[in-house]
Amino acid sequence: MRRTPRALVLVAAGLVALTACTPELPTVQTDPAPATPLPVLSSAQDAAVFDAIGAALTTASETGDPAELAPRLTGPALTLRTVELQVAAAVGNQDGLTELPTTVQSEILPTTQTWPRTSMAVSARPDDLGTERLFVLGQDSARAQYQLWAWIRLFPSITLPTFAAPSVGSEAVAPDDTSLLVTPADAVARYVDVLASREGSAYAADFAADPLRAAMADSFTKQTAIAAELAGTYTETYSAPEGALRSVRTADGGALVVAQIDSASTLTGEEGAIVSPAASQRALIGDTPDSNSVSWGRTIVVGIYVPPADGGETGMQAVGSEFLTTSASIP
Amino acid sequence: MLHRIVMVGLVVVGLVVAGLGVASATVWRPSDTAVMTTGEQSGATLLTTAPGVLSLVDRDVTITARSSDDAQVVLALGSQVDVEGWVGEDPALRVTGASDWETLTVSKVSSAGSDTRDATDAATDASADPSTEATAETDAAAPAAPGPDPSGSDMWVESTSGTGTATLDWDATSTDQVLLVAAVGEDAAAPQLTLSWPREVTTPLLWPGVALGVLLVVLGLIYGIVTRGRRRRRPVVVPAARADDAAAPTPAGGTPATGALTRRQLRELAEQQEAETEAAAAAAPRQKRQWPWTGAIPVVKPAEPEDSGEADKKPATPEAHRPAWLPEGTGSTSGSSWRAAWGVRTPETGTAGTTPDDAAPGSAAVGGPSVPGAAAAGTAPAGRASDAAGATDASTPSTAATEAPTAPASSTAGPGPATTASVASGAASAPTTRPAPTAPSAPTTPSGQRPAPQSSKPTSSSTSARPPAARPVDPGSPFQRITLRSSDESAPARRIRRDQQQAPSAWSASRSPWAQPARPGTDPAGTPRPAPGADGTPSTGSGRADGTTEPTDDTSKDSD
Repeated sequence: MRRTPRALVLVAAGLVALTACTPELPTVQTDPAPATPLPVLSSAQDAAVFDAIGAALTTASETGDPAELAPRLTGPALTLRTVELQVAAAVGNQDGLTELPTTVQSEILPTTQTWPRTSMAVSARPDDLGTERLFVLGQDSARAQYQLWAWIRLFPSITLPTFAAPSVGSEAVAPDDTSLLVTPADAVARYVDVLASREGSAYAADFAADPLRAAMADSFTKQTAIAAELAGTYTETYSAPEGALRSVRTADGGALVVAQIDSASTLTGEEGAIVSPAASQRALIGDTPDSNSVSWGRTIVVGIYVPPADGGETGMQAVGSEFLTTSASIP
Repeated sequence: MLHRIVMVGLVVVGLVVAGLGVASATVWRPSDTAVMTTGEQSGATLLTTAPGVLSLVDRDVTITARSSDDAQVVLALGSQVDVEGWVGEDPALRVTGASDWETLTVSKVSSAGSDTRDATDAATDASADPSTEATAETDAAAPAAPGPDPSGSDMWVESTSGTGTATLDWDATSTDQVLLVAAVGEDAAAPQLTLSWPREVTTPLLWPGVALGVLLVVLGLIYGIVTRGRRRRRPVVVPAARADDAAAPTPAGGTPATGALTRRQLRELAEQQEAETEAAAAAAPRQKRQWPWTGAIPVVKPAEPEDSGEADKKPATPEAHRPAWLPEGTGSTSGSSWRAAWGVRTPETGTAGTTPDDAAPGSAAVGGPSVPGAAAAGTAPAGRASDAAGATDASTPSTAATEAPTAPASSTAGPGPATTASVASGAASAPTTRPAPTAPSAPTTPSGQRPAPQSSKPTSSSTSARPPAARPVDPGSPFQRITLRSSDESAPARRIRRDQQQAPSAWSASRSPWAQPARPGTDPAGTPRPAPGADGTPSTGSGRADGTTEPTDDTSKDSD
């Protein structure tokens, strides 16, 4: 009888030994958090986003229905593209559509862990032999998709500031970020002032000369001349809608700020004069009969490089822009 | 016995260990796949995993989620921040780890956001806490119809969907990638998540177990062999110790083991012995006794004490027949004992009582032994031959020796070993003797022959008178061979029994005869002849290692 307990003990010991052999229950192990946040968007994802955007653009162009843009375009991009489509529809051809190659040659991926998020990308060279586009994408909320917020045509011969590699990602810069020569918002405000005041602006020296300024000044000059012919007046105002700017840190600690600037122009001739709006304006105006006055508004998107606070002598520089008359009316 | 137990134990344990080792790699081998599930859940249509859960067991994970049959189940993998951001304020279940190899632990993230409660708690809360529920419902209410659908988000690294169930294979290299499961549809049930991983199963116990098991088995076998070998040798040793003479003879014999003798030699030996025996028989008047004196051995003992003295003297006696090594208990002794027993015809009292009475017989009995010794001397050749048989023989003798003691003891004590006892008792004693012989009969042959001589010799030598009287043995019973070789005291008894079993018919036959004490009385004369009964001859004896020895011994004894 004494053997029975012993046998039991042996069996028990054996079972225990076997049990001990069963793999230990794994515990949840996580990788250490990276010192700096990683990009929240991968190149593949970015490419997928651009594919989606390209699809939306294509669909909208084919159907001429701006509604197709809504899912993937927002902000000034949506505004511009919608107008382009309207004009195209009015004009009868799509020559006025800005070519937006959604094949990107370099990505500026976001590391922002919250929303909204901003991503940028430089497109391949368009077929029209124009300059590369700089796309600005944004994701407003977690459940929103990335959308094309704006695009600008890079100025010829401009050298874009260096951005961090896609694998590292570039952080977004708040409008009031003070690590820069001036905050992004201030930079935009100053640029607006420069556009409005041209050489008379107190900040004219802050910015290197750029085609946009020149174009605006040239436009102003022309319109003023026309107004003079008509013994009328030409007024032009610029403003930056609040919050309509996106900034991404550059490798040197500066930032590339892309901002929307609205301009409003009114050309008024003498009493009895007839001011004929341009075709593009007419498309926006509709059937309203001509009068001695035309008002139109432009939507301007400009990219401004803002050097870091200790950037030294380097000034701010506009790197590209896009603008289009997006509204017109005959009062 | 202990040795055997140890040996068997080692072997058995070895086999068991090896078996367990193999089993650990076969029947008990863990599954190659680890499957864990959350089981039925409730309270939310969204479910997420905590970082690292997907790679809990292995990087390659197969994700399966189920919900209502008509619900759209969406699986999405994205970075933790994206998933958490996407879930936002919505109630969601969160898989935080594993509680065992089959179960995933789930907690519920309330709409409050950071609050993490046990699912059950959350459930009770939901019913108990209207406010929480309210918020949850308002959130859920609006999207409740379809439920939030994460499919198509740019943030997902990978995603898929299906109706009722969805499966996705994923390489969870980065623990930052977490899973979002959403059940989309009206009244969609909370998703039930199942994760399965290939698991690397090792069988660390297989070879160690097998190796250890084999080792144990081998050890056990070795142990068994060694101990058995020792056991076998033991008898040899004893005799050797006892009979220095034996040692001498051995060399003389040339071959220590009986087995070593060729048949021819054995035959010759037997013939020689027979011749001698006959000669002796002729010389001896008691030869009328048909049965050998062999078996009775045990009986002899009783007389031993007194006899021993005599015996000792006797061996010294000129009688060359009895080899010095031949213990008093030997055949001759037995013969004497028989004589004593039968002659006196006081079976039971016999041993003790009789012996004394027959002072002569008693002493004779004792003398018997001594006589045998003498007989041995007489049979010297045979004796030697047996000696020559060597170790084997020695063993036998030793046994005999042992027997002798035993016998005496028993006889003296009366009841001693069963066998002895029987022997001791007048009539009974006879049977005892016989049984032994019976079996051996064949091998005994030689011995049988010798016995005759022995008997005769003993008779002639010292207790000549007694032997004849004591012959209880039936002519038919070949019992001369009382194989009392085992040194164990108990052995004799057993052996005898065995012999009985072997030759049951003989035994029974003999028995009946034995039962009749009268016979023995009559037999004495025939004693010498019993030899014929022992046709078996050495050869037969040689057949068994032990048997051979014994027969030889017997022979020697008998011859003596």
